[in-house]
Amino acid sequence: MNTPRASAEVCLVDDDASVLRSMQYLLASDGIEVRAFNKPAEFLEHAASHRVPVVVTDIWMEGVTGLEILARMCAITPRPRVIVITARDDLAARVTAMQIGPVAFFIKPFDDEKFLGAVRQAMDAARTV
Amino acid sequence: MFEATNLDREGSLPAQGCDETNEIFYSILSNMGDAVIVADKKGKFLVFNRAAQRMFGADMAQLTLTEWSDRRSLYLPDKVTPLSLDELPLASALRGEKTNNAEIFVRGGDFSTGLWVRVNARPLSNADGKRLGAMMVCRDISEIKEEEFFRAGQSRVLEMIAADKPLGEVLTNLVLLMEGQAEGLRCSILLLSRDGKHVRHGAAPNLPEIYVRAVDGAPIGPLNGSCGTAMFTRRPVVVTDVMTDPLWANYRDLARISGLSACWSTPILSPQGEVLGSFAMYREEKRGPVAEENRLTEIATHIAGIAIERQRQQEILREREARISLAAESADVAFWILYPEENSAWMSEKGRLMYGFDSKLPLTCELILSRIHPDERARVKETYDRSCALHGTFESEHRLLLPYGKIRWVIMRGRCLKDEHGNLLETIGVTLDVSAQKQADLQLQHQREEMAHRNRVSLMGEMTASFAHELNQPLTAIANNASAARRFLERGKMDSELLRQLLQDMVADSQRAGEVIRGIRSLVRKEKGARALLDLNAVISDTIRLLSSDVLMRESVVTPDLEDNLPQVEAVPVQIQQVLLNLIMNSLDAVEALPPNERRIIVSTRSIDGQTVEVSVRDFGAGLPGDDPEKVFDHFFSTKQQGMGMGLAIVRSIVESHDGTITAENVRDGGARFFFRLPSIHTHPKTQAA
Repeated sequence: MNTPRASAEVCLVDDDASVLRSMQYLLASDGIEVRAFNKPAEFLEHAASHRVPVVVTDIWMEGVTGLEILARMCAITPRPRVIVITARDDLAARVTAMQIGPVAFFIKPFDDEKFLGAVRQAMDAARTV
Repeated sequence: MFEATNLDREGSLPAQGCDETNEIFYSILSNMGDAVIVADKKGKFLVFNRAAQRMFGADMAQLTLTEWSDRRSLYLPDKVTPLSLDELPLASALRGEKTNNAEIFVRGGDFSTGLWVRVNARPLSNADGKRLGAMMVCRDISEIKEEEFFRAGQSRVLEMIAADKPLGEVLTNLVLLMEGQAEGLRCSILLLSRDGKHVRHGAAPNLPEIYVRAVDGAPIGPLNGSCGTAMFTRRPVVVTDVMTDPLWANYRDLARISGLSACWSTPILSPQGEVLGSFAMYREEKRGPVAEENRLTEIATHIAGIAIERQRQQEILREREARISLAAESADVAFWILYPEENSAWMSEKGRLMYGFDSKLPLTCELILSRIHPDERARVKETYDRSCALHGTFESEHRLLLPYGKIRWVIMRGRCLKDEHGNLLETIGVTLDVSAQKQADLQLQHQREEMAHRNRVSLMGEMTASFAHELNQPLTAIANNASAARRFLERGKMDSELLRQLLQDMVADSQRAGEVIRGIRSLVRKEKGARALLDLNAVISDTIRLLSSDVLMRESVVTPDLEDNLPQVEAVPVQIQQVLLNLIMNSLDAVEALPPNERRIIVSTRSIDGQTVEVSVRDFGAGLPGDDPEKVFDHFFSTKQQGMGMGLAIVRSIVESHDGTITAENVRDGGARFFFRLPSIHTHPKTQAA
């Protein structure tokens, strides 16, 4: 517990400020430090020049959609572990997400234990790569 | 030459020894038109001149006063009360009494119709005052009397006309009056029928029934007896012998049965020269009219003209009244007149029913005003006063509150009548009962609201993604923050500042969730809400935000292009939002078939001349039916599989209920554009709250 995981940085993308903040708090309460992005475009900019082992992103966002982010993540090597959170269970989004590999899919509001477990699992997987 | 021979030459009347003077004196007496009778104190006639003999009988001159009453009947002016010998002015004069201008009616002798005389009598005395006898002077006033009676008769007929007696009765009296003026004269009055082609019986009291019946309904024409011809030619027709005159060819048998020989007919004309009828005189002898008869005809046609004309006017008036009241009764219209000076009022029967007044109740202006619903009374009164003063007319739609709480919707229209100084004399007007229409209007409005509500509910069904997203966002944040707080506490890492942060976020998010719920409720609520000053740009931004998830899911883009400093409008917020939701959802449907990057919708606003605000929703889809883009606003018009075709019809009714207009058109470079315009309100933003 509470082992520093500086190397496995988690990026958080949500255009809703209050949701973004609450996720930050939730992850922090479990000792996970994150980089939070309120604007998807800024995240993509960051991803272009930084390693992004784990991404937690919303699907329905203005400007750049989560699906676009997923598509961009496919192009990155090593491929980031992606966790999708969405306010609405949408088949099209699920199908697209599945195409880029093993992805956790959470529908808001979600179970905090399962979510945190999925994030840890992704971080571990990213570390072992 | 001098018939009165009993003059006592010893008497003191003429001066003795003046034979020549006496001759002259007697000559005057016997030639004068007035009767002069002189009696001595014993009643023996000394003078009984020629005129006296004519009036009272030639043999009287040989008699004494006491024998008079056996010869001629003398009556008081009532023509029936006999005059006793003592009452004879000559007898009173013998007793020393004077008589001035007494009228006496004389019957018998040569005068079959009797004689009217005016009498003056004086006692005669000598210089010492000794009574010698008496003198009586009588003037024949029969002609004057007859004329007087004739005039009185005319007045009676005119009075009957004025009193609106039946025309038949009036004309019969007129005919009898005329017939009374000449011996053996019979008269008739015929009327011209409404079609102007036939004669109708008017009055003929002394013509045989068979004659009257045969004439009634006969045609007029150039050869139709005296009357039919007179009416046709508009000129008097004189037939001196009906047995030979060609005009009477068809009526000779009738004339024979009726004993008629001559018939003179004169048309009766109205003041405007229209033929109203004819007046005819009949005689049993073959001759034309004499001057006196022509005079009677002139009087008779004049009076008959007045009578017939008046009756026609009355008939026209009655018919008009009947028509008006028929119209009034069938049209639910109340007629009324207000007399503000006397504070009295009149109202038709229908009006009294409408206002709930008993038919006998005397009406006042206040009473009528009191029936107006208390909530509207002051307003109606003010409108009335102002309109009457400004335009002289008045119109108001309001409710009446009747006894027992019954409500009636009415429209009241009036016109003020003023005198030459501009003082209000009266207001006349009508009140229409529009309760039934009002009821229908209210029902229609209710149906419209019901339809609009269903439209909003169905819109919400189409916006589920947006609502789920809008609600899930704050709920997720709250859940996350609560979980985080629990974890921080379990690990003992919670400081008070962190806890405050988390709680504050949770409060803010629950408020945000509440807002979303309120938004949904306002759309689902049945009642339409009140008008408010709106910034359309803000409403558009809110609506686009509300729809954002659906827009995203449909991989479409809605771009606002809003003019800065847009004037405000007065509108019901939820209805404007409903209009925008319908238009944007329609556009989203319209672009659905396009590739995602072409699914564009532009919502723009602009101000036109500062008077009007225009909102336009433009898509780049397939466009509207080319022949008639406006058809999309019709009820049940739909190009969509699931569409009910109500959305745009409701949109139009909402826009129009805000005094706005909405138009649909195809844009030249593709797609459709819907734009609606609302009147803008020029109010400083700070005064909004007031």
